[in-house]
Amino acid sequence: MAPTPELVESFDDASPGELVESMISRPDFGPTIPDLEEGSDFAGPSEWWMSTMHDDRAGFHERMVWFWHGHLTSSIDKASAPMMILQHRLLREHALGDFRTLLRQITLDPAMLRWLDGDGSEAQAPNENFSRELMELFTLGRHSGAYTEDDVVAGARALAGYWIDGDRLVFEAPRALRRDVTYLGTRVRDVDDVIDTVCDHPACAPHLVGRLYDHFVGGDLAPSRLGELSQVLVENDLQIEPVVREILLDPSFVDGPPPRPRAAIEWALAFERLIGDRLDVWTVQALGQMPMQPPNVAGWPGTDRWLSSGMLLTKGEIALDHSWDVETLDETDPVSDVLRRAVLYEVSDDTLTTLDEVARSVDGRRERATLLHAAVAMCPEFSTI
Amino acid sequence: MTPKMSRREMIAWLAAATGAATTGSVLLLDRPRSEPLGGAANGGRRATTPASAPGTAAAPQAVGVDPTADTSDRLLVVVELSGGNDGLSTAVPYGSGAYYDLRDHTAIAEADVLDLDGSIGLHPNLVGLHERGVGIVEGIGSMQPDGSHFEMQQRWWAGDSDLADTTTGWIGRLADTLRPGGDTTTAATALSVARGAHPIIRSATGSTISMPGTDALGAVAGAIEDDDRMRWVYQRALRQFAAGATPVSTAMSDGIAFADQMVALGLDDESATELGYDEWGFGASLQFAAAVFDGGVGVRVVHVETEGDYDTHEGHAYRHPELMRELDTNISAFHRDLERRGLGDRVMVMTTSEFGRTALENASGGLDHGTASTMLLSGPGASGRLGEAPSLTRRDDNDDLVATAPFEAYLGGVVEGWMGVPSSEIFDPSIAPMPLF
Repeated sequence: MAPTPELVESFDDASPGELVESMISRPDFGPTIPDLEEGSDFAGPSEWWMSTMHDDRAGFHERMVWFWHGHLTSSIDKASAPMMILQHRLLREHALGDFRTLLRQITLDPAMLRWLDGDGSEAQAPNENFSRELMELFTLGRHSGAYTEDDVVAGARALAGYWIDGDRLVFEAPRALRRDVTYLGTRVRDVDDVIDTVCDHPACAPHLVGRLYDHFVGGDLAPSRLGELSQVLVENDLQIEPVVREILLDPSFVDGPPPRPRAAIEWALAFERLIGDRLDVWTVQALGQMPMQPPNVAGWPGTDRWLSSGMLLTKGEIALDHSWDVETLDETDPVSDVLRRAVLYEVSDDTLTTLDEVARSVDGRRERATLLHAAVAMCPEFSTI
Repeated sequence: MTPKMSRREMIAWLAAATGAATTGSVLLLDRPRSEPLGGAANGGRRATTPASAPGTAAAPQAVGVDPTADTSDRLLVVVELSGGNDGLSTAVPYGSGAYYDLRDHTAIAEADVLDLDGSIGLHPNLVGLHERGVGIVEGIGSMQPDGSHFEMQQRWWAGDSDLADTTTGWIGRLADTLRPGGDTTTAATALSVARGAHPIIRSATGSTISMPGTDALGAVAGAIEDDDRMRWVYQRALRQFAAGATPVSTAMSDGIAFADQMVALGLDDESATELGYDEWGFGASLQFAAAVFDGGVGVRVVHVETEGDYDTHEGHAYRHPELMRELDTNISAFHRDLERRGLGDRVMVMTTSEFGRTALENASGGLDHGTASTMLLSGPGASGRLGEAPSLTRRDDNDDLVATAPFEAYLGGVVEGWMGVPSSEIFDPSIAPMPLF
């Protein structure tokens, strides 16, 4: 999620293809997932995941898990800590695997049932929340015109009948559908039918591709390219890894993916690397991106929301507060030293001038270390990726 | 020989970037803003004279709005109720039998309603609003309703059901229009009390700003003790970073200019605790808005979101009352705050919400996404039933309420009737603004 200088420099002689291949093929590094008890600390899962993302071994797989957690969203605001951990295991297992399996499992996942009110929904007057978001956000997209309000209701009916009893998932036939309904032009009766119907729908692959492309690249996606990428997804039976590889190896990326503002979590993780220390999870929440606490079912805001005066000033206080204990510097060229820790290899002359002036303005080694780290964290280049 | 990539490229791939929002307004590092603000980051801006000193005795509140009044010092607060607020629970049509037919579990008993006109009344928790007087605007929605939060929010934020152009939000356009003659000496004409950049304040001339509260201001403009050279060096560095022309630098310089003005006015306000605001969330946001207005720094429109989630798919009967309490407690405290600052007759508070809820309940004691809802106006002279109630019996094909006025007419009615800006300058000229004042 935030590369180290060593990792970047290791690719000095690599081609883009080699870099991407190396990145994608690094598997889940297999962190130890805690077994949290019912009633345990609200921040526990988020803290654990932050430390996992901070780990040097966390790579592309971690980014994929982050993508899914923002796509198939749930939040610690409504689900318990153990439930969020359980859902997290699901995302880790299937992050680059089979989408249909992931979708089916998350539909009956306790955190998701709580979050989108599937828990206790009854077919005769169902809760429409999950059914709508299943189509609008998770699989088909609103703009495809693929579904109607009638489909939302029909889907809700077919998905009903489940509830969570303590820690068990329970299905009660009396609460569920008694006969088939028409959903997206197909007759369906239960969860499996609904999942298969949305996955097989022609709007599903393009929607998933759109979300993946938006997350990893951003900007406009030409319809022809969208078609090509959707084809890859369909031909691979909705396996995620092949299409992600295709997206990252787009021939138009002559200079790499285009620059954009860093999301709060990215800035936080990069800042942790810079200072060689951890931020506490409440600080990350203050920045607006506490893992496992997305603001709503659409997940995290788009890129342009992260560039604002409010974000910058919030970071400003955090940067200075947390740079007090940083390691002292290579005194022969402290500015270059900190820039390398920040993984900033190309900065403007103006930024360099400002940093040089900071270095000259204080006498003590500790003060200089503090100020340079805080200042680098606030330079325009550090807010961009 | 394998080509070498630039380090920047490597980093971009390694960090596997998250993408731009789909609205197409990605700000790239090398694309400067269309209208650069004058002067260096900490030059070229001066605070306007504060309207009044905090702590002066409360002026008597105006009882009505004079249509010939000078609107040039009027202020507006837009309170967004995110998730979709149930209009029928907010302004309860208790005089209609149909209301009780529709709502087995979520109906509010006639005896509990705070009566307005003998057939409709306010939710029992809207005590303060009821005492002060409030205008209710029923039947507001989209003439082509959509059940998606995100679609409807985008329409409301853009102030346009057709979403023809989302590069500006309606508050951004209003701020562009209100900003006196291209004057770039004010830091911002509209404020979104938030950390991130809200689409509702997207503007063409950079006349708006996002700021979460007073805490954020200390980093760049906080007081520096005499011996705190480190903090002085740091603030100087931030101001130097802000002097560039890139979007990041510009956002930084806007923030610094705003912070300088606010900090110069002094932000400690201990008596605010007696006013009854909730300490954090919505209460803190309104408290900040009052301080910003009082500071006279040029902000005339503030956008705030409430803390609670209005998306009551389940448990509506126990969730909605707390939402109403949060709304009433903090708006009432806000009015008291404005009065003690001598601003009581200048500020109108309006609510917005992307849609109402289903007329019928689901089996989870909840209400799903609906259509028309009831908006509230709280301020000098705002009172009465200002919209046309939607029919509870003649509903649409999904059994939902049919809106009686498009939301642009409501927004336009406030913009024109309260702020004195013709609705046609901000919204579709073919939609007539509602007479609300």
